[in-house]
Amino acid sequence: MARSRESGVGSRGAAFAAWVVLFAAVAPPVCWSRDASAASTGIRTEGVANYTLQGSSSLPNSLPNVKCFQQGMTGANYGCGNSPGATPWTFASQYLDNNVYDRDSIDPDVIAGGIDSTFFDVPGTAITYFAGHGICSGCEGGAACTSTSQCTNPQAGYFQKSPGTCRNGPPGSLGPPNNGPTCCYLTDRALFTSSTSDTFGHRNVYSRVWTPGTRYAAWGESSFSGPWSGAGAYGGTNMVVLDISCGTLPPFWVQQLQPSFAGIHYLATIMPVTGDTASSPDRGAYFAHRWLVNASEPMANAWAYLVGDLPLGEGTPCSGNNYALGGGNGINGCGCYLITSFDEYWRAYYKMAYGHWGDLRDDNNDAIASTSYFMFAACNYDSDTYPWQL
Amino acid sequence: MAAVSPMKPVHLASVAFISITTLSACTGVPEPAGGTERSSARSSLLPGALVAGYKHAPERSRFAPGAGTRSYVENGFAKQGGDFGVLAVDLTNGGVFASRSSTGARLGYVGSADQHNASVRDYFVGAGMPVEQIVGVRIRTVHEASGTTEDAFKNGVGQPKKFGYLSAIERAIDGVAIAESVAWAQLDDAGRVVAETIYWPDIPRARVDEALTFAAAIGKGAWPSLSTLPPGLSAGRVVIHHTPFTQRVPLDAIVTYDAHDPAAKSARHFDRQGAELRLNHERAGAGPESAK
Repeated sequence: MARSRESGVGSRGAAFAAWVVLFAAVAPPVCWSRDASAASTGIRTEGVANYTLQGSSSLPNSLPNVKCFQQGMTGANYGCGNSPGATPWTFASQYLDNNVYDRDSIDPDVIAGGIDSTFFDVPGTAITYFAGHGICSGCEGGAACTSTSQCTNPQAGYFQKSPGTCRNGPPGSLGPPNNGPTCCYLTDRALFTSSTSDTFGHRNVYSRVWTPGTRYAAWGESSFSGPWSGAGAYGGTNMVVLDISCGTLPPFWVQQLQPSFAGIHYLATIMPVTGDTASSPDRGAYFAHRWLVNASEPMANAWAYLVGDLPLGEGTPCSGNNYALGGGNGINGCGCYLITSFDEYWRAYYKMAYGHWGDLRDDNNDAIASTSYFMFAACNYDSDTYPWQL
Repeated sequence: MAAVSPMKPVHLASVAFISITTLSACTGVPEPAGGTERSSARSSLLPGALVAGYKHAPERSRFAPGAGTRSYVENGFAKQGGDFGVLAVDLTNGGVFASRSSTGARLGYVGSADQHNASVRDYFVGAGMPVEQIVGVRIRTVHEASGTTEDAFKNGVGQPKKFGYLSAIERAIDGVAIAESVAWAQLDDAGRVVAETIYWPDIPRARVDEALTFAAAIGKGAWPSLSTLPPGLSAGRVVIHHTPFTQRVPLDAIVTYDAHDPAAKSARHFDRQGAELRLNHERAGAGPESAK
């Protein structure tokens, strides 16, 4: 796969997308499952509040967040007041704080020492939900800009690579030093842990930007997906939720998220634009609530429309002291709930357009390639009037 | 949960609270909607006058579940499900939720954000939402993108196209934000509701008055605790919190001063005595844990 990095919008991609939309408008939905005999029902949660060892601030909301997601899905009682009735989901595991290891989510087939097939990416898992710290980077030293074509000077000292982007947002939403549109660059994404048993520096770099020859994450590989990603077939989770800071950043979701796909149906996260993910105490509870309401809701909607369900005040405004220009709903400042799927083209399309909670349990929907992507996102501001890239 | 042990937990019995039964929402009988205050006479559990919120209901919704609609009870909701989607009323708290099912058509919106906001506002106000509690209508933008991975790596991915909007109504009573009240809708080009969430419960007048008194004290520099709050917090505001719709427990309402903590990436809450609180939905108890 050629990976030359050039800035600019892909006109081929735009034309392809237009063709897809046209075709999709006339094509009836069809089932993409090969058979429906393989059900993964497990819910796995990992939450880190105490970051003393890693050296970051504590995130007390991580614990109720994952506990109440677990309760909302499986009924495991943590006093959250959101137990379902009969549920097709099963409690698979819950690890908190010191029991969350960096290597939990690292794949042993791509780097020695990983143990994800035991704790994070285990056969029979439907959803693995991680809440904790991530990292927001890519704009350090960025120059003021008016167009992405100006952003051609990534800072190696900050592990930035091309392509660049002229990051934009509503007036007043971009802070110092430029207080306006700023050149930002492609950087790695990582989730962070803080355990005495960590062996990878308290982090899992799930993208492959700075050292593309080194890979840590490969999620979802199974006998149903096959070993196409080069990570064996010993995993099995069908969806990963990264409830962390800057799970991905615009417009780099393909470069930053595709490397972790090895069979998962979906990866859902927060994509801050001018802000950061809020540490929500109940994003998981709201996500589970959407299953309670409608088990046939497409997963893309269920995740993205949390931007409406979470209270406005869970998160700060995009600018100033009110929400007139957006912000909140689980995000500090401007940002989006993003969910993506990589697979062969039509499989990815149907998963994103129609795949629902029941389909998520069906391992026949495991990704068998990552040649195409679909992304669905809902942003807490007017990202049409104020595009995130100039 | 060591990180929260110094804080005072908010228990039903430890703070002023109300319990409001909203079971009438599941009877199918339309509730009076509007912004008028009403007494607590309709239920002995209500301790005082209430500021009425807005109770949505299937008969006031423009969401159509579609062909083959049937009614049933599932997961604690009274549901109407058809080939387009599901409209559900929470049998405990009266929240109303509608969403497309996988069998429903994907319906976008090509109009402007302002048009969408205006239409959603008109929809809710027309259905009985109290106008005086509407602070603003906030747009949320839905995007989608697709393509080949190779092309994205090679040429990058630009700004994806807009698929549609959600318009969310921001609520306040007498200028006091009601934090967990949520009302939003997504429309298609024909003005049909394709998704919505509405939970605007009644709020005790006493809580509103308490909040106004609290805010006035801060405004006059008469809240000594302001100077003793933990360092690093942003300037905050007085808000009323109530039980979120995800929780099926008696409704609480509590007044706090909320300030954003950049380190914790979330808001922190303080009562009039300056004591820090964690709200019920910010707490979770012991439960099944996995051993390693």
